[in-house]
Amino acid sequence: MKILHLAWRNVFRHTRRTLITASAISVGLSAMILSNTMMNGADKMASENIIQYETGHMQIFAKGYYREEGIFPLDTIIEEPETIIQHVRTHRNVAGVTERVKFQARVNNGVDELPTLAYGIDIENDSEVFRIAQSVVDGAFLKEREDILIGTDLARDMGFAIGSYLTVITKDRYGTYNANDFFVSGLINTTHPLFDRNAVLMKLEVAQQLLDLDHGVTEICVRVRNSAQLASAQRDITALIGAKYEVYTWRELNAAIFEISGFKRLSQFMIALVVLIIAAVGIVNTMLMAVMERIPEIGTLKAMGFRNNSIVQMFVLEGGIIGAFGSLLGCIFGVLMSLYVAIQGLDFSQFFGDMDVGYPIKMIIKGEIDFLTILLVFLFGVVVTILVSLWPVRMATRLEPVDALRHV
Amino acid sequence: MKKVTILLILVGMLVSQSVEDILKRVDNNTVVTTAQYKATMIISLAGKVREKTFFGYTEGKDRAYMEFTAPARDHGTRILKRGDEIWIYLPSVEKATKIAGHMLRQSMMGSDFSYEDVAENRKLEELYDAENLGIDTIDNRPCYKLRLTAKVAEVTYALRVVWIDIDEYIALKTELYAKSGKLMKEVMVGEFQNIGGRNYPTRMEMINKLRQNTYTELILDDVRLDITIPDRIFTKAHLERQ
Repeated sequence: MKILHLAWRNVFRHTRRTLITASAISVGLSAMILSNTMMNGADKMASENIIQYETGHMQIFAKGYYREEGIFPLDTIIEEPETIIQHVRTHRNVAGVTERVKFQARVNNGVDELPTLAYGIDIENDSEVFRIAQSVVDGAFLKEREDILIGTDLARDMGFAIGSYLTVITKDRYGTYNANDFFVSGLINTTHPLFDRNAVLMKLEVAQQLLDLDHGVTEICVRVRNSAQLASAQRDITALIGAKYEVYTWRELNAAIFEISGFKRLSQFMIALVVLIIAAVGIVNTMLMAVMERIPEIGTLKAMGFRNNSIVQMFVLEGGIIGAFGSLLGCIFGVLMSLYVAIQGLDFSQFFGDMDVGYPIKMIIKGEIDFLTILLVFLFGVVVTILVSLWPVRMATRLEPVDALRHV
Repeated sequence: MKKVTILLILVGMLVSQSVEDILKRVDNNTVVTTAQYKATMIISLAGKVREKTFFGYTEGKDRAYMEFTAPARDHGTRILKRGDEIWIYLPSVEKATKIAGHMLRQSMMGSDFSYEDVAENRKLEELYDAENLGIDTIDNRPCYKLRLTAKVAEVTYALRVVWIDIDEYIALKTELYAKSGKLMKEVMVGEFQNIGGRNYPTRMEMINKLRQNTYTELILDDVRLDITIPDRIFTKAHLERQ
């Protein structure tokens, strides 16, 4: 306890030096916390966007449909979706089921053409799984045959407004060109870039006719009540509907995206680690200075009968106090910045423009604070400072009291 | 009255026979076993005109090879079609990439031709039922006007209306329709030459009817038909050669 008191007083003999060292640590740690908050937020938004607009919790395909990302074959479709939907509805964890037709199409405004992903959606059941109807920001949801919904960004790029006329050009399941005219009935804003920028949505029957699918659909989408039991629901439904179909969870369908996310996390962590290493060098420096300028003091202590152990303890405690102080400061800053990001969101479009980052979120990221990570980061900061202060301290213990006392 | 009916039926039979005959003779002119050519493509998009040149080989409906020579930006770009697969080689990438199914529909090198328009070399007779819509003229040349309705499912255009020169049996004008009946493209043949007994189009214009102010003109030179083309031309090794 006395040693702690001694260490505490030693730390504040040089207030400015202590503050500078501590703030170096705090910068590193707050960067780690902020990057963690951002990544969590981005992951959460991406997951929500995928579930709420793109796939639901699970998707059912005809066996062999899902081969690779970006390929939407019309030769392996679910020909009779009704019976499957009825089966799936019987599962107790299923909250909603809907069917969709997804296909590649070009959207033409008479002058320009853009490749898009087109969806035929069941206007009665789509809201059981998805939030398309709730994301209509202008105009109205699908009603008539020639109604089409487009994203606000696509509308801006192609110069469309409510009531605009557009042509959707695609090929049916046999490879024959088909083209239909539509009127924009509503604009959607989902924060999912695919739907805001690259997708058009029409009524299911219209899409089926356009592609010559009869009653066939490309996918059946399922929302569950309890997503913690998604894996067991997936097993049950796979068994329920038989071997002609395949069931994928939203995570399986987006494995590539979360792989990217893992890499981003790692790279951000590495950057924060570098900052922390620089901060650690600062601590080593501070501790070295403390040891060097206090060599006569150490000699005195040793001459008075202090054991090496106690001296090590004292210096380690000094390092620890600076570390704890810096870490606390870092956590406070980190949390404050994270809170701002979590509440206000951070608009990256100023830095990157409206570019596609291969991640299903918009450039405004709302952070998601994880307090367990913050606790870990705090401990990490303290442990690192203690570890790096051991090296200078070893120098102090090697001194002979006589030499130390003579040291100028 | 009875006589008139019989006459009408007879005439109808004659006409329907000749419709198939017309189509057969058109196919005989344009569906070649092999072709070798040099081509100039003039692409006009919203008032801007660009010119691209390439040479190519075609064999049947499954094999085609093209290599661009100008402008400098496209020099060395090569395209290979084998069956349903299309490969494109960009000199900057130095490796051939496969063009996936949906991209076949996209325009070739910014033109109004899609990759499949260029590669299509199938007999109209096998794909379509023909109906005679009478005699019409294109550039003062009398033509049979035929409506071709797809009789097989796997066809690029469900409906075509063609104007076929009465004497030369070549489609001077073709309208290409989507299944919904919407007019998508119009092909005008401006010049044709008699090459080895076939009337083969050497100057044609493709107009994208869904976009304003765009058309592509294709001019063929040094066309040689029904020659033997070495197999190695249609290999990936040839596509990727240095």
